[in-house]
Amino acid sequence: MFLTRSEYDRGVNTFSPEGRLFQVEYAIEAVKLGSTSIGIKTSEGVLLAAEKRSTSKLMVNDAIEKISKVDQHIGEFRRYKFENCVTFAGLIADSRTLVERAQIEAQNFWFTYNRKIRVEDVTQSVANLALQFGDDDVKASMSRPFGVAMLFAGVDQEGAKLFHLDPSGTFIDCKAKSIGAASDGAEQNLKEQYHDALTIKEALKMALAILKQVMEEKLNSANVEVVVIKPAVDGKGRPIGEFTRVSNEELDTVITSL
Amino acid sequence: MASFTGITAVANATNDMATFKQAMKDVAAHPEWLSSRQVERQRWNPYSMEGGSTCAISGENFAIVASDTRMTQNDINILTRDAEKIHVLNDSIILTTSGFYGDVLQLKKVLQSRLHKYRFDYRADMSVDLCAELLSRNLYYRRFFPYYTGAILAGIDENGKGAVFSYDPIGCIERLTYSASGAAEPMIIPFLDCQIGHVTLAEGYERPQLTLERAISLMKDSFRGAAEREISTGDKIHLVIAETGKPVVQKFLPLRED
Repeated sequence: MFLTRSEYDRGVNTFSPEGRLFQVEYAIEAVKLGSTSIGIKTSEGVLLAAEKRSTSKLMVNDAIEKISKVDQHIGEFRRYKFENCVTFAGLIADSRTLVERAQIEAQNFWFTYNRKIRVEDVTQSVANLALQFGDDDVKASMSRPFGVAMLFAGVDQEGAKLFHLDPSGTFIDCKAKSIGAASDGAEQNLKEQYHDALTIKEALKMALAILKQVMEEKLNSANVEVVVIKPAVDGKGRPIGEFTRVSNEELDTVITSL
Repeated sequence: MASFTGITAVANATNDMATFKQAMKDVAAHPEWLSSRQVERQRWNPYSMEGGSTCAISGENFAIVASDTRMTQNDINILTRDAEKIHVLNDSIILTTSGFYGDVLQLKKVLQSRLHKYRFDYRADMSVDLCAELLSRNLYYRRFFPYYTGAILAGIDENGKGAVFSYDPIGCIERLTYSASGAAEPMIIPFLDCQIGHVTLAEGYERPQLTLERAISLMKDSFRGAAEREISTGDKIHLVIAETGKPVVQKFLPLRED
């Protein structure tokens, strides 16, 4: 891929003479090996859709979790409510570390301030971790960049939010975003189809239609995972998000209608 | 001769009195029930009380905080007449504390540094709601060697309303309309219960609205009353006024100029 291959792609923290950090750029490439995920923000909430790629017929597809909860607490009526969640593409094992960091940071904020952390702040804290790599084993917690890109979705006091984080630790506020193997194609579709007046229903249909188009396997309810976070109000009248996994039945109905 | 006898009698009586006084003193200092272990414990006390009183009142769009500026040792010896017990932490957070002044200063420093870090981490000033929770957590961290402070946190909350949070030394938190802490607390609270809480007013009577002007004049009356009867409260009233959308105003008013 890079024509000017040299020794500069060996050390994780050595710039090349052109001013590039090859290992970080390679990590960004590693993201493209992962399965595709799509995030769409609408005025009615945020939606995350992720492809679950099964490499074998013998794999139990339900066991793969491509969308993780970051924050949860028990609401007034002992009903579980979730505010933030995250989907990822790239090395699954690396993503665990980052998701755990996000969960810890969210809990920490809640413990200290008795308030849910904002989506942007949880993304920032994970971004801080993303660049803490190096070959120094005392200070650095990771010897190489994390090979994961993530989409953080949630609803906070500022409304629905969607953030994209890449292995270089850069995060961007997005209206819609795609990561993973078919991200280029999916993103082109998102650019053409996205508009500000989208409803969650339309977004769900759009996400599944795009996944159907870009996925190598045939799309069905078993190899896709969809989560919707809608604005809700907590016991103290503060805006929070309500997390729902779209059921297989609902997915099937939408998929057959495509 | 007779007069001589008289003088001897008086001298004996004085002697008897001195002996009696000495015996009382000895008994008070070393009562028989006090074991040697208890004597050991009393030798060093890490806390001292420097007296003084603080009070806070909140209304629809304001919060006012007042304290006296006297600092005393053993309730009698005046250490300074210009001690500041109110700390304006930012445009919407005012901390006021009575108790052990060393702990007060430390607590103030801890909160200031947390507020400073919060600005960098979350790119916004902390609101009084969040600071209230943070203070509660910080006080409870010292559960077994507490800050000896009666803290009150006041300010304008996220909804633009006046807020007063009251604490015990280990962080039990309560949001109230008005609160007082310190030496004259038992005198100020019943007065405010009557004037603001209207707890003694029969139903059907007109309850005057709590305006900023009324709150300020009640605050002055509270401290005038307290300074009259409580010797560690006096010298000056330090009055801090926070109004929604306005900068914090600080005033010093003399107490008991007779």
